Amino acid sequence: MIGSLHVPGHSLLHRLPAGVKLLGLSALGLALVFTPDPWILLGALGVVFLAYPLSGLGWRAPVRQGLGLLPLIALIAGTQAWLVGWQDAVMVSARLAALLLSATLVSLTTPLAATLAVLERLLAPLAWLGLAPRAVAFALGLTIRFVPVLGGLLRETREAAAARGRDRVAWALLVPLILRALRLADQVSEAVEARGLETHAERAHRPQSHLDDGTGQTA
Amino acid sequence: MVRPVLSLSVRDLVLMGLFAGVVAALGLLPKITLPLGVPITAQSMGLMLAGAILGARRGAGAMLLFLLIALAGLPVLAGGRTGLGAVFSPTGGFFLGFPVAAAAVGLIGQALGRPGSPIRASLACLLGGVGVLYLCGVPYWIAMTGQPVLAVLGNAALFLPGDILKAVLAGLVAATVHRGLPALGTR
Repeated sequence: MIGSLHVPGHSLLHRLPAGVKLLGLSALGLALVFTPDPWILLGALGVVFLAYPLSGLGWRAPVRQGLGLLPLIALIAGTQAWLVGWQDAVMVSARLAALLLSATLVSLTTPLAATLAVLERLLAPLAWLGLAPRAVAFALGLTIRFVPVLGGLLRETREAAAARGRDRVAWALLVPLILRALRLADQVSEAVEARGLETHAERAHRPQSHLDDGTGQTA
Repeated sequence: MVRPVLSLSVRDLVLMGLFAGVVAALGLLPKITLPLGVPITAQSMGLMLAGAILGARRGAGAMLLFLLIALAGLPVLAGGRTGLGAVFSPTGGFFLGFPVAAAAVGLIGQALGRPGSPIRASLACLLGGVGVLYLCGVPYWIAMTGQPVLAVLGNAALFLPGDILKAVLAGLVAATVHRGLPALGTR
């Protein structure tokens, strides 16, 4: 398993339900985007920054996150200072930093499974398109399970290319990586089908057998 | 009972799941930094490859899965970011546009025909993976920063050469994969 960013803890933010946090984050995001006052935005940035140590995450996490966004903020702030004025540059920088820090704060305090459960509930209306929530959950589980496997495949492919003295051509890795992933997909779907799983569409097209009593077991 | 509009097989679901994983793995490749500090990551090639290799429906589905695991908090975006952080950054429209652009690449590729042709595949990646993706990303950037349209276009233009290069490469890769596996289909 690849590690999610979640840091376990018992703070107020950790204890809030994931749905409430995501809803609050969306509301905060909209409010920040539509607030033109640089002082309010700087205040919001300060509050979000303080929420990190208050949630037991320390001072380093927000600083590191902020540094990651620095090139993009610098680019935008530079353009704004040049075209509009420095107040505007301050406003945009404070807004972007506050947005990023608040979103990351939710990621850090919410377990992967809790966020996924909320997202799956939001996707439930897709059932009207014939995409059953169970199918979505199955594919999501598969993706999460296979991210580290494919990361390993990528590493192997790079090592194989390096052994042939082709380590400088990163793009040459893509064809073998994708072919190996597609082959893996064939093996996985055979294994899944062998265990008797099928989708709605397949069940509709399956020739009816008199041995099949609909419980998935044959007599 | 609702008639299924999307008739997906187990194999389609698995292909979508694994391709979402491929795009996540591409985020692990070191990024190349162009002059002026503009980063080129392999990840946005992922959406072009998904659309061009799996077709519109499955490609968009794969990118939707990728979006969901990123939003749920897996640090799968290039540079170890998560989806919530990406949505809340000026480039969030590019991130949210992944499924839309993958669908566009697939549809354009299908309209052009002959999936094994590198020129046609590159053209589909260019129109869908760059053109449509920018249509999703640029308005979002403007809404987020309140920058003048021309300034945003000027900033976006820094990324354009790298994105064109990626579209051509993605087209070459997709055409090669299709020639190797004609049974893949592009529904």
